[in-house]
Amino acid sequence: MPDPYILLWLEAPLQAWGYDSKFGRRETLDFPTKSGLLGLIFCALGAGGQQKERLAQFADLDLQVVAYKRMAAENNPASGEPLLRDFHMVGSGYDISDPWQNLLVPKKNDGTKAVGGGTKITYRYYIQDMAFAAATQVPSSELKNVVNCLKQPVWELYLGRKTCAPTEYIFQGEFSAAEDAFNMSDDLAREKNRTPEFKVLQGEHDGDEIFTLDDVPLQFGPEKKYRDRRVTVIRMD
Amino acid sequence: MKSFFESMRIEYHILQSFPVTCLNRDDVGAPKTAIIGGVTRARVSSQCWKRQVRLTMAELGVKLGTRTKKVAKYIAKACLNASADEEAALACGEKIAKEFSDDTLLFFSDKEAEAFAEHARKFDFQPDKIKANDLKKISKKVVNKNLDALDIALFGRMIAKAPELNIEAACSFSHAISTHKVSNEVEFFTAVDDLQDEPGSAHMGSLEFNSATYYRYISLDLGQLAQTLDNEELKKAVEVFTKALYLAVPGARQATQSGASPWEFAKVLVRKGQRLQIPFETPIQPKSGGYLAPSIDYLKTYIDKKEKLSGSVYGKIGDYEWGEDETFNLDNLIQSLQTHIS
Repeated sequence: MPDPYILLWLEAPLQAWGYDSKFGRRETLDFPTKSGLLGLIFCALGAGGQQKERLAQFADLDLQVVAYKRMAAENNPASGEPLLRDFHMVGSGYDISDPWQNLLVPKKNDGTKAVGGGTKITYRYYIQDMAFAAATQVPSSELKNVVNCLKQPVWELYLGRKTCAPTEYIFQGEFSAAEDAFNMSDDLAREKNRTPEFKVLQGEHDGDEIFTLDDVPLQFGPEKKYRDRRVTVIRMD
Repeated sequence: MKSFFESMRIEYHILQSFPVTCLNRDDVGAPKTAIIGGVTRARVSSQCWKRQVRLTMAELGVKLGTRTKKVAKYIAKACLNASADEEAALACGEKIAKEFSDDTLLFFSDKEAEAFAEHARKFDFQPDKIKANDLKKISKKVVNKNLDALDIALFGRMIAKAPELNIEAACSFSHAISTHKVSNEVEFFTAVDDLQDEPGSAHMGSLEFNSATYYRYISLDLGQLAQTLDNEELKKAVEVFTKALYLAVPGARQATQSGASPWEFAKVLVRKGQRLQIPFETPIQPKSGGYLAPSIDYLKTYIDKKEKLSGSVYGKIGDYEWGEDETFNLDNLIQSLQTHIS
């Protein structure tokens, strides 16, 4: 028996699926990453640390995502919203004579102040007003535990970044095939006045774009390790 | 071991209206926005409001960690309190400090210093008998189990060099987003020169602002917090955190626009299910009472409906409304929340 699928519904005003961020630019892909989704599941389980063996069970399993944008008016689907760029300064305006406030200013590795006082500028990108359905294959042996924990997560669930709280239940059912999961998500999307925009399949298929993502987590914790996978994007609108 | 508080969280759904303000600026000085439900909304970023809450908690006298280079003196003081004589206290302080740092800043909690002093007392405050290994064991036990720096427990800390001391934040803030469509306005202004000899203004400029009813969603993970604090401190944490949420207002342009509006309505839930914020995806239309009244109606109706449809999955343990019943003030709200921590 192949491993079953669960349907995850990811909907919020803002989401951020971090990928390839360097320094002050925290990028987001325009769809959820495999590492982000497994991170979410492991959060629900309350599974911290490296989790190498558990992650190995998930690494080769299938993941398919459909992005649903909002319908603007009847039979007139809106184009998806552009990414939001959030300008953010860290460490400015603190009273450094107050030892506690001084702690909040970023310092160099050796604990001394950076040139110019230590204010850092970062840009954080967010996806606005989208919903994603992710058909995620789960090892049969883990299914029951994963489903229970998604309903009553040990740690709080968030959509890529801790500030992105979900507006809908994430767990939407278990299925024997991805197709069944997407029939369910299409119904949910219609109810919510949303329409599919694109689909992301794992591996190489006939599609509009095929590329490599380095987002298969092999090890969580402070020193994360990933390997890559090929994905295919298929436009649906 | 599974704690009683595992999966239990407090969710704050707050509505707060601000007149002419620019609470949180982007890099061109304009109020931040987002596009939700096809229209532009006013936005205050999570980090902006969170910073004010953190600073407000400090003003409320929260017990904080101390970061100091004067470790010797700090520990000597604890030894004095543990009834050492002055000379021995200083000697012990210096000995212990030497084991831990060479002129770098250390993050200490009072409990940790107390534990060291207690350890020194076992040896009648003879510095030679204090061994580095024992100290490290004590530190590990005290820092992780009995951390008395509430701010760290609530907001987390990350120490790249010592990840075993990392603490995951227990609270999370969503971006505050207006429940309705908002367009930024431009305020054109001029300023005159008091010493001018020609008519006209000496300076002109423009400021962007807006006004909005914001929906704020904040959750506090009691399970996470219970991993770093004991029950009594958990109660204290809920008290100070709730007060700080109530008092803190973003600092931008407060000198010129003074946007100090308090909460107008809050629904606070204690739940064991997955957390859920309200999407406000269809922008609220103003009624005779402006945006606030219809926003309150929508918030209540939405949460009630979600709860009914979810049945037991909703996991509700407590449900408190603040803002309409004048006999239920903020202190009552805090006390009610604390009844869930026994």
